[in-house]
Amino acid sequence: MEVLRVSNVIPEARNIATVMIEPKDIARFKALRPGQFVMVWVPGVDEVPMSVSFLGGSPFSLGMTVQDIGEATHALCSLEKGDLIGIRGPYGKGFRFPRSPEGWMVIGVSGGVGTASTILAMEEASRRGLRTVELVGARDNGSLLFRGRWERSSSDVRYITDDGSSGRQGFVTDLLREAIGPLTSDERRRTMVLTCGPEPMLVSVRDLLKGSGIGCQFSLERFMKCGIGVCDSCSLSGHRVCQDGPVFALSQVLRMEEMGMFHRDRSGRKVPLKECVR
Amino acid sequence: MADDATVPDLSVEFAGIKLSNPLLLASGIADETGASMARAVKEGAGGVVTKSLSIQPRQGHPNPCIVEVEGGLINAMGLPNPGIEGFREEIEHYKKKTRGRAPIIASVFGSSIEEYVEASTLAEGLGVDGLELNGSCPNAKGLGLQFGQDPVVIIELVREVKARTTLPVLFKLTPNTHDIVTLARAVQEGGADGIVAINTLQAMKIDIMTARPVLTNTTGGLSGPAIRPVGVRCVFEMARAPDIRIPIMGVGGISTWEDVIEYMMAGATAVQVGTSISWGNLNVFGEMKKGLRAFLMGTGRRSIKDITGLAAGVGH
Ligand SMILES: Cc1cc2nc3c(=O)[nH]c(=O)nc-3n(C[C@H](O)[C@H](O)[C@H](O)COP(=O)(O)OP(=O)(O)OC[C@H]3O[C@@H](n4cnc5c(N)ncnc54)[C@H](O)[C@@H]3O)c2cc1C
Ligand SMILES: Cc1cc2nc3c(=O)[nH]c(=O)nc-3n(C[C@H](O)[C@H](O)[C@H](O)COP(=O)(O)O)c2cc1C
Ligand code: FES
Repeated sequence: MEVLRVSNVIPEARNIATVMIEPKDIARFKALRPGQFVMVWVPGVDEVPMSVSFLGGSPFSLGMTVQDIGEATHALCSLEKGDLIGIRGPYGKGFRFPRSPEGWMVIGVSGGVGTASTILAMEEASRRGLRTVELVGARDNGSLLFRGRWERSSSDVRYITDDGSSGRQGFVTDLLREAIGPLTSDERRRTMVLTCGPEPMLVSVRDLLKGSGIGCQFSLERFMKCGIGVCDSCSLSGHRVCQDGPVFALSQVLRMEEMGMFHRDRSGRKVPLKECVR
Repeated sequence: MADDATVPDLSVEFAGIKLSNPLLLASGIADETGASMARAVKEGAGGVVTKSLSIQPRQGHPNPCIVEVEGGLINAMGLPNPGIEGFREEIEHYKKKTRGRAPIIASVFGSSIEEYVEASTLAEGLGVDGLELNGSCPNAKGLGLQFGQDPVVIIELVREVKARTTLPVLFKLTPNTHDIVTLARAVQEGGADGIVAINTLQAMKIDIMTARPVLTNTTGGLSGPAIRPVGVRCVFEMARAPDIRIPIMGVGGISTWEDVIEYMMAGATAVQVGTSISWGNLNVFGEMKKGLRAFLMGTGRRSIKDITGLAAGVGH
C-alpha cells in the first residue's frame, strides 16, 4: 500500500468527481492495463475498489472517477487537495485488444459511472490505431461523463440518455443494436465490444451479442475485501472477479449462472440482485 | 528402488480420510462458494477445507481487512461466513461437481464449547468428510483463539465434539503460544484424529503517514512465505515428540513443491495451501503435483508417504 496526498479533485458531473494522485511507484502504474482497478483506502472510513479512469500527464498522475452513492464514495468525493489516501494495486485483468489494428472495429458501450472503466480502454484502442465507435449512456445530461475525452479519442461518438436531455432518448443498448445491425458476418468477426455499466445493462449487452459472431469483454463488479484473490468475497459462479476479472470475455460471461441474478453480501450469502430494469 | 516406468504414488490417508494427493485448500482462502472449492480440485487439490463456519452468519470486519507486507499478508477478515445452514447449497454444489474425487472438511468455530459442539453436529449434517475445529483464529474477539491456547479447554472441547460425531475430528492449532507441543498433546488427549498447524501469526501494520493501524481491526494474522519457517518448526517439534501419535497436517507459507516436501520431512502427512493461491493462481496445485512426482522419481521413491518425518526421525 502506498499512502499519498491527493493532488487534485475534479468535479465531473452531478455527484461524480475524479480524485487524482501522483503515485511514487511510477513503473508499477505505467504497466497498468485499462480495466484494471485499485483498492483505495480512505483512512478511518473504508477501503473500496475503484477503476483507474486516468493515467499519464506530467507529473505522472492516476485518476479515479467516483460516484457518490454511500459512505466511502462520499468521503472520496469530499476529499481535498493534500488529504491522505492509500492505494494498492493495480489488480486484476484488464481489457485486451486485437493484435493488429487492420480491419478491426472496437465499440465501447458505457453506462453511467461504468465509463470510468471504459474511457481509458477506448483511448488506448484509438492510440493503437483501431477504429472506434463510442456509445455512451447516462441517466441525463447532468450525469454524462468525459464528453471532451470521448470526442478527442474518436470521430464517432453517440450519446443517449434515459430522458433525452442529451443525445437521443433511450438506452445505450439501443445504440448497440443499431450499430451492429448492418454488419456483415465478415465484419462481425473483426468487431470487438468493450463494456462496463450497471449489471442489467451488461445482461442486455450479453443477450444482444450471444450468437452474433461479435466478441465482447465485460467489466464486472462484486463486493471486494482483499482484491487479491484470497478471500473469495467477490466470487461470481466460481470466478474471483478481483483476480480472474474484473474484465471477462463473452464466452465466460455466458457460463456465469449468477450473472444478472445474484451477488454475495459481506457474509458470503447469495442474495438476488435488484430487478433488472433495462 | 522404484522402477523408472512406475508413476510415484501421491495418495495419502489422513485420520481415515483418503486423499488422492496430500495437497488441500486451506480454510478461508478461495473457499466461500462451492464453485470455487470445486475449481481448486479441478486444478489438482486432493481435498478442501471450507472457510470457518459458525451457527449464525457473520459479516466479518469492515475493510481494510487485508494488508500486503513483505513476504506475505496480514488479514483480519473476522471470520465472515453465511452460517452453516447457509453453506449447505455450496457443499451440495461442490459434491455435484467433484463426485467424491476430493474429500471436503468443514472448518467450524463457536464462542463456547456448546457452540462448537452444535456447529460440529450441524456441519456433519451437511455431509462433509471431516471436521476441523478452528481453535486459533486471532482476528475475532472472543472467538476461537482463547479456546486454542488453553490445554484444559482444548481437551474438553475436543472430547465434547468427539462424543457427538462419527466424523474424523481435526484441531487447528495457533502458533501464538510458547509451547505448541503441550497444545498438541491436549488435542490428542481429547481424542482428536489429527492436528492442523499453523494458523496465522498475530501481527499488525501501522501507516506512518497517517499514524494509524491500517486494518480496521487494528491487528490481524500474518500468512504467506514469511511464516513458513515458523510452521515447519511447529510441525517438527510436534512430530518429534514421541508421545504424539496422531497425524499432522502442515500449513503456513507453502507455495512450491519444495515447501511441501519440507513440511512433510518435518513430520506432516498432508499439507494445506492458502495465501500463495493469490499470487500463483489456483494452478499451484497442479504445479506442485508435477514437482512432487519428479522429486520422488529423482530420489527413487515410490510413494509420497515415505517422505513424512524423514527429518524428524519419526514416521507415522
Ligand atoms: C472492480 C470495481 C471497480 C469499480 N470502479 C468504480 C469506479 O470507477 N467508480 C465508482 O464510482 N465506483 C466503482 N466501483 C464501485 C464502488 O466500489 C462502490 O460504489 C463503493 O464501494 C461503494 O461504497 P460506499 O461506502 O460509498 O457505498 P455503500 O453504501 O457501502 O454501498 C453501496 C453499494 O456499493 C457496493 N460496495 C460497497 N463496498 C464495496 C466493496 N468493498 N466492493 C465492491 N462493492 C462495494 C455495495 O455492495 C452496495 O451495492 C467499482 C467496483 C468494483 C468491484
Ligand atoms: C484471508 C485469509 C482468511 C483465513 N481464514 C481462515 C479461517 O476462516 N479459518 C481458519 O482456520 N484459518 C483461516 N486462515 C488461515 C489459513 O487457513 C492458514 O492457516 C494460514 O493463512 C497460513 O497458511 P498460508 O501461509 O498458506 O496462507 C485464513 C488466512 C487468510 C490469509
Ligand atoms: S476480493 Fe478477495 S478474492 Fe476477490
